[in-house]
Amino acid sequence: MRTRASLILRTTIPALLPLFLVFSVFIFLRGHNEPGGGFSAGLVASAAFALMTVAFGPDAGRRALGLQPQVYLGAGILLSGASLLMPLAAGKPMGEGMWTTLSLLGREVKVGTPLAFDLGVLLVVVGTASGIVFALAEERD
Amino acid sequence: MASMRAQSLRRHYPDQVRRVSLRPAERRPPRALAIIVPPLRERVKRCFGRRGGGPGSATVGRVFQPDRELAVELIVLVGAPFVAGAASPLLWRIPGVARASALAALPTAAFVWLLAGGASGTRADLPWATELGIRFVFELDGLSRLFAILITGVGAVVVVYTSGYFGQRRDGAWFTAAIFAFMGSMLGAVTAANVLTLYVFWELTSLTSYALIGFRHEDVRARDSALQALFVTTAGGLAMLAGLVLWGHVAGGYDFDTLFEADLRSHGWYPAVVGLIVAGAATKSAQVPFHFWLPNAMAAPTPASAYLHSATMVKLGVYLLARVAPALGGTTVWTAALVCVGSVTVVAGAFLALTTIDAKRLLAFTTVGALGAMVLLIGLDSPAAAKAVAAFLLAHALYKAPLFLAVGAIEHETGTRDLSKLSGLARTMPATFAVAVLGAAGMGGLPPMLAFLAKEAGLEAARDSAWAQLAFGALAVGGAGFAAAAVIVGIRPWAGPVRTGGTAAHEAPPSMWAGPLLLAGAGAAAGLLHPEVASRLIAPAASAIAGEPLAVRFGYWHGWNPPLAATAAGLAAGGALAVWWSEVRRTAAAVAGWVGTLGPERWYWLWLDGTRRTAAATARTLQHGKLRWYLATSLAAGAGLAALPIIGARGEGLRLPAAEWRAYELAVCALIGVAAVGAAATRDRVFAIVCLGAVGLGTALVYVIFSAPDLALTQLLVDTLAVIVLVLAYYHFPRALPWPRPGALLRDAALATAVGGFVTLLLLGASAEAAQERVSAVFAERSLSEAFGRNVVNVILVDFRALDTLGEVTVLAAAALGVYGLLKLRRARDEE
Repeated sequence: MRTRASLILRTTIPALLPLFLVFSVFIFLRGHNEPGGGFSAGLVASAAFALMTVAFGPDAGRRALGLQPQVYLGAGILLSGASLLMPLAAGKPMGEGMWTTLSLLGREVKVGTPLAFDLGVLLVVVGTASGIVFALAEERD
Repeated sequence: MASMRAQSLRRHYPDQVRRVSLRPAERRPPRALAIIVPPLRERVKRCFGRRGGGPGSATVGRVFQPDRELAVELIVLVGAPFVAGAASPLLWRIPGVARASALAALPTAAFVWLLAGGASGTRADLPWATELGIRFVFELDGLSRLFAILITGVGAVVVVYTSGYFGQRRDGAWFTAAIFAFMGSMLGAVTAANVLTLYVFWELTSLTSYALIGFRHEDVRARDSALQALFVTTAGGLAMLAGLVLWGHVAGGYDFDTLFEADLRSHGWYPAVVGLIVAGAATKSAQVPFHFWLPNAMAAPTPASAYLHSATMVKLGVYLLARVAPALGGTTVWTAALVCVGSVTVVAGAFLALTTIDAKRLLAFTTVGALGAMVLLIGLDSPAAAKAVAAFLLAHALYKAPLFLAVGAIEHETGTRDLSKLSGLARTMPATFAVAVLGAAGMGGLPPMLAFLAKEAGLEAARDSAWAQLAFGALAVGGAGFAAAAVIVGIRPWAGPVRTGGTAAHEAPPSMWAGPLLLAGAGAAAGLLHPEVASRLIAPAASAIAGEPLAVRFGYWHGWNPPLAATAAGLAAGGALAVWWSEVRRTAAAVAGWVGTLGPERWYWLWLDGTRRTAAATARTLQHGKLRWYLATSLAAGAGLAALPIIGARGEGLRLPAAEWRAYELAVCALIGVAAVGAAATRDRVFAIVCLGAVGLGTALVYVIFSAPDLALTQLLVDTLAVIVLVLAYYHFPRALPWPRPGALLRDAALATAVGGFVTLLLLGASAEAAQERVSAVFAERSLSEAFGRNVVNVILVDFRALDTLGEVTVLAAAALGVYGLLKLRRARDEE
């Protein structure tokens, strides 16, 4: 980047990053019954990494993301694809939702293949958006 | 007695007996039947009575029942070579002689098993796409068995030879793998009893032969030749498939059983079916005008040439014709097509063989001629011709494969196969010389070789046919050409003073002459033991070709008759041509060159170059690399596609929603409009980004107003991210956006108006469509009950329409990789 980002951005973003990610998880989980879902959640998370990049440069963004964006892409498609294929192993038609109930912290939580599918969508969105953001930020001036 | 005979026939000709009974009675002229059938009573019993206790007897009564145990035998036969191919990189590491033995173990075992009558008369049925009624069906009748024996027998010799030919070279492993895959494909093709099964294996032979012909892929000629063979044979394969599917459509099924039951000859599609199937066979079997790929395919390593072009691939076309002959033959269309194509091919092959000094090309041209002879004989459509075809199939493989392999040994030892540079090799390579002499005796059609008997039988069948003049003449001319070729390859390089084209030649390793010698010797032995060979191998195959049980007997002496005269004249003419070979070759090459300027190969190259040029021009026009033009093209195409249904419906059904406009709705619309105009009109970067953001927020507000919170949320998030991305890209924009030229401005305005206008119309049309509501009602109803989610939009995305979503995220990922690659590649290029 040619100029340093504003002080406000550099001060607030590190604090906001965890919030963004928690919000992303929240949107992801509520998507089943309320507006939200993997796509929106992925966009929120991507916005976090993009702001990190704006404030501190692409290296900081990459550190925050942890893995290469391409890994997110591949993992997302694999996860979504696998969640569609999984019912085949149980002798059901491809793509049919399979649900089970887990007991988590004393509460009943429904878990199923559509959830895994949506998580895959989230990962692909994060990989796509971050990949483009990093590539743009790493462009030489 | 009668029932015993029926049982015996059914056992050995399950196919034919059934098919004959379904054929129209007037199919064959009574005269021909009278000649063949009366002695049959005794002969069939005599020939097959001995085998009563053989492996065939176990299959009585359940031959056409899909029996699991039997199914396994055939499927193993077809599948094992593929497994051996996969294992050959490992087998190749075995040191020394053991490697050749290990490689040859499977084909040899299969050969011995088939020869002993294994799996004869069995059928295997394997489900494939059962919903579509597509199955793998295999059968082993007499014709299939003869082919399978050739494929495994010659295959065993070829893999041993390959082991010597490639020596310590590592790529021999891959070559062997391809040979095995090809072997499996061929076995599948000749045992297929279902159209689609046949097609799959037919094209597999094309693909594997592509790998074999193009094996020396660093040589551009090898690549071109391989591609040529692939194009020509797959085009023919498609024609064949079309023909067989038409036939299956008439018959109501795709198993050969069903096909043969349909009386196609009186159907209107009959000429089309015959034309398409003959086209498929003609490309595969290198008939004029598709013959040119075969000599070019000599770019393959010699073991592949010997295997593909003596015993297997090129015979597949002949096999196809022989297979369908009982059902399609017996008409003028059939006979005229095959006899004409075959006659031209025999003569052309024999003539072209005299034009070349390359020993392999010479052999390839004689193969073209021999295939023409087989096609011609199948066209004659008589029991005598069927017998001659079956005999010639066997005889040709037993002399042509050794000749190819002998030429390969010469090239291996001397480094050349230029016949004008070689002589006196008999002294240095005596074993290979023996192979060549026996092979040449077969090609020349000398007694006691089986080829002699086959040739006499062919000439007799031609003489007795309705097309006697053309058929007999063509076969006689072909015989003379083959005799000349036999002398040129079998005697000239071996006699006279020692000339080896520069290098000191010595005998090839045993792996390169022992097998060929065995094959060539088998050609002689088969001639000497002809009663046995005729009853065990040739009669069952000939019966399948003729479509009725035949007894087959050969004799060396038939008295002083035209075939004998033709043979003698052919040998004399061949000898003379070979003696004056240099002169003959120059003249023939000049004629061939002159004809070649108009020839089919020229058309092939014109077609290929034209295709390449068209492709290059298309790519240049469409892939210009200018982003704004890509965008303009996509948008214009999108607007055009959106316009189509509206124009098609003449604007009917379009009406504005009846709802009243509220003030805040108008305000949001105004915001979007103003921001859009601002983004387009400003020359300031920051203001443009802000305007675009406002447009996005306005759109999100519209979604909120019309109760689509999911869309609103997504739109908001996308826009937020878009603004961040634009900020990152900000520094790469020109500081002040330049004003476009007036023409460009007008063009962009027109495009934008068109896109916006048509999308608006499309949305109006879509919202007027009532069907949409029914679908959404179904989704809304089932969202909670079946997918346990209250958010219908998300349930549709991740459950009901999950496959669509998977496609979308895949596109998204591909686009991301594209953007990433574009930016990174540019950077890498700039840094260089």
